[in-house]
Amino acid sequence: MADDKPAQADYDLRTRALVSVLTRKGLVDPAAMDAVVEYHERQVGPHIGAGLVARSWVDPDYRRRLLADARAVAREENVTGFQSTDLVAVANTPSVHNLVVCTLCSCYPWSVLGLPPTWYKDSAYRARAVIEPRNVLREFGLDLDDEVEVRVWDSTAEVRYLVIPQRPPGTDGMSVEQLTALVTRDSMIGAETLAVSGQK
Amino acid sequence: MNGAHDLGGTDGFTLPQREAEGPILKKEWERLVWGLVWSLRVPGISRGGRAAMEQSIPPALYLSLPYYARWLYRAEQSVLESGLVTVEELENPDGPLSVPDIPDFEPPGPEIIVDGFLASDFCAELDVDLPPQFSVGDAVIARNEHPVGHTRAPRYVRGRRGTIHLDHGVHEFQDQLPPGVERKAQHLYSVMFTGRELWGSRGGSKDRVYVDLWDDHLQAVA
Repeated sequence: MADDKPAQADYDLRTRALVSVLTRKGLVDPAAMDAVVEYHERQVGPHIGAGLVARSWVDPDYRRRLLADARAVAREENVTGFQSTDLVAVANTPSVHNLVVCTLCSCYPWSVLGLPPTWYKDSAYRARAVIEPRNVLREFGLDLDDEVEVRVWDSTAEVRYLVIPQRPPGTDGMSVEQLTALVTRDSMIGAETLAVSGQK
Repeated sequence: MNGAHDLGGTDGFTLPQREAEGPILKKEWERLVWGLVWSLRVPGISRGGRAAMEQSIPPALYLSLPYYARWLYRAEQSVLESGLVTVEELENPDGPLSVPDIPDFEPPGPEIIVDGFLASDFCAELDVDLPPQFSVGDAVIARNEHPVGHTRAPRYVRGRRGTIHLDHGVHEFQDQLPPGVERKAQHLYSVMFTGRELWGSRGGSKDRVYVDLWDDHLQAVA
């Protein structure tokens, strides 16, 4: 129950009790609860951000507009949502690597990436990304050259950040659909770079 | 407040492995909690999610709870504090229930919660014409303030010198204000701090941290 007893409580039982009482009292509509989960699991997800990224790789004008005003571009494509309409896109280049974090909570661009992965919400990531981003990236498997500038974006307000990863080599001539399939969730947070499968 | 949620720069945590892409809500109770917290928009208990949630959990408990258990804890606290639900009812959920004192209340359905809220074209930038206190390129100092209420200025930037990188336009100020102080909309900026400025010799010479801060968090460099 809601006291200071730490972690060992039975989350399943507590959740069922809370939902049961609130539903029986008519304070919550179970259909709304289902719809929330459906929305976050099926309607939004990294495939949306991947589409924006892939198009930015093949269309220089689109890329320029995305980097200048991601919110306007997202709105044109009806990519909006509570706490993620105020979107800012930041691009990785050979000399700059971007990484997104929320040190105060777990703010994340839901409308383009869906719900955040567990590692993004973990205390370790939130604590360390701002003080030792290169060590964090190295532990994640990305060893950046010392000359690369690392830009960490701490999402302390309602603005949400989307990393545009570099286009992987060997992808000339691929369609936007093929390129979209290469873009990973973690690359759009800045936790990894992209390689064509089999390379790396 | 200087709470356990303000984690930036804390040492000693072990980084987890990055998990493969796939469903985020892995357990049934996590799905229920997530659906519940966004559907629970009842007058009197639907407060600002992050502000209320983070600071009301005692620090040792906060650090020990998994992410969705924090939402569960906060949801329990909200309905208990507002009197809509009693501890006895939660302990015996199939037993008798008191009738909540909200005349003619209809719980919001999917169209209100999802279409009208979660998926809506909600924009935090306000369409208000207010002059910014700072311009892109200005040198600023994050004010060294330690308010007892919720603040969006993380501890690790307070007193540190940065540079205005972007002006995000006018946003509602999200810090909790003392009673009687009027909340005023103001410009929000992305402020760049160098790794060295924030972390001394441990900061990387090519590391930059960009933090979103409002006018009231900042002062000009004299």
